[in-house]
Amino acid sequence: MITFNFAIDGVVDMMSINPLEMSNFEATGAIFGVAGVILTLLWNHYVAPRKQQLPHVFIAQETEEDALD
Amino acid sequence: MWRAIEKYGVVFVRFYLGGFNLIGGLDYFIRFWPQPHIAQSTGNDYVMISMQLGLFQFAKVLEILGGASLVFNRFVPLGLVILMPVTVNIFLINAFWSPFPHIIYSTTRNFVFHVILLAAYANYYYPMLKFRTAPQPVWRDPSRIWKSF
Repeated sequence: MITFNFAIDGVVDMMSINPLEMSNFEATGAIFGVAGVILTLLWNHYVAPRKQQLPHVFIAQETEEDALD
Repeated sequence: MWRAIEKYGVVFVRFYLGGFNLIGGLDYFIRFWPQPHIAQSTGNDYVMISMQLGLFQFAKVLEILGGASLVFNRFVPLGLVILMPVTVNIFLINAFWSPFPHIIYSTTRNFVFHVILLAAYANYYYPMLKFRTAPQPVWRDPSRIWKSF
């Protein structure tokens, strides 16, 4: 029977689909997620943006040389 | 506003999936928490056999590598590819076989998060969508590997 129960009791209710009813691993994921967003917000605010790497684009010559056919 | 939600939504999903997998993988070897409860189901038989074959341990190593790449934002497209077999297998053996709604919900959410991240980093996978391709072996010019860094 699916429920939507939630309780802070240190035990995961396996029948509950409440997102707040989390296992240790899910709680870790949520903590990492929230902390990551906060860190990224602070990083974007205080640190100058750095150039990030976009996918390598192969030019025609690069693609043709060494090709097997 | 939408752009900010989009950007930080992807950041949240990346850290969530990375943290989940990194800690899940480390916990298997260090055991700071009890291992997840495994219910009697057809999926459980698959887990037991994969443990005997050593595949489960290998999957945990992949979880650590892929999770670390997502958390530390290094080689993320590669990390997503490394994690994909793990996510898909966990989803397939639980979403359709687990008797617990919580496990079904949890594994489905992780699968959806993984697909969201693959879509978010899609520009790194477009080169794979070539219809006619010519092999260009790495042994002819290994320097291409470090040029790609």
